[in-house]
Amino acid sequence: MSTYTPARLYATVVGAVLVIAGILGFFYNAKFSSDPAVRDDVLGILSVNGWHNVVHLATGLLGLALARTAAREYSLGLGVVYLVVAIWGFAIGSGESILSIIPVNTADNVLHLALGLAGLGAGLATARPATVRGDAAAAAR
Amino acid sequence: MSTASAARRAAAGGEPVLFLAAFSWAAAAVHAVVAVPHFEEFPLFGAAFVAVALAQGAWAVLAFRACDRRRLGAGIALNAGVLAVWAISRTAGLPIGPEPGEPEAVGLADLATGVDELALIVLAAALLRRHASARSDALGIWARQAALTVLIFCGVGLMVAGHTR
Repeated sequence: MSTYTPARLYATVVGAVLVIAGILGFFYNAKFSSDPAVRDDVLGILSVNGWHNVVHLATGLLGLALARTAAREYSLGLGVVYLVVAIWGFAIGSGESILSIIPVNTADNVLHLALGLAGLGAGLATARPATVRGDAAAAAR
Repeated sequence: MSTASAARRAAAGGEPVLFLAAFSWAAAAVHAVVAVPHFEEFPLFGAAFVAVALAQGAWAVLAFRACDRRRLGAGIALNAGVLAVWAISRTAGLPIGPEPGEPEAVGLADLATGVDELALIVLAAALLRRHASARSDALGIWARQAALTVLIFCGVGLMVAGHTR
């Protein structure tokens, strides 16, 4: 039983959460529209539309698929994406939509910032596989 | 800081410390997100949420880098204090704020965060108890599954808090 690295933990937890959010979202709103009024609230509060659900589901499934094989790359990649989305969201302001399809507000932006920093931190704190092999070889000598 | 040295430090702390840091970061993220609506409602509450988020975020980084008895104790005290304030706000109501003395309703995000903080306290206390003796670098299979479940539950709470409009 292998232990978790920071990147594997990030890919597993964030992947699972995004898949749950994506699946739940489709039960409430599966419409693919750029109209910010076309959205519904999951459990009365999680505001989504079809595009938002697809983004959650796709990135979540990718995380679960890569958790054992390429967790470091996933963490760094998703971390950068979330940081860009957070900065983009802060720049356009609360109540606007990124690329006219993903509505964001200040709370969203803080959430994306936290997920981005966690992804980058987890990725940077996890050694590359080659480095691990190199360390093992050095230790064996 | 090279990634290799960071990874070695993480390996030195072991898997339990990694989960402790993750618990604390998840709680910090929820508090940072809910600080936004609280600023609009009552600025002092917003500032308090930011302070808690910064403290929990900083503790996550510090504990991950080097987890000693003092830091474990500080983590337990910090999260026990936050849990106590939350429990009062949901039962007797806080003495200050827009509705003093009125208990607030329990929501998914704050319940998930409370469970996450409780898990942090339990794990930190367990580590503290065996700190002087042999330390394991891996969690048992049930403890690991429970820790993952708590983190995912808190993550769903975070998504809900971050997408409220």
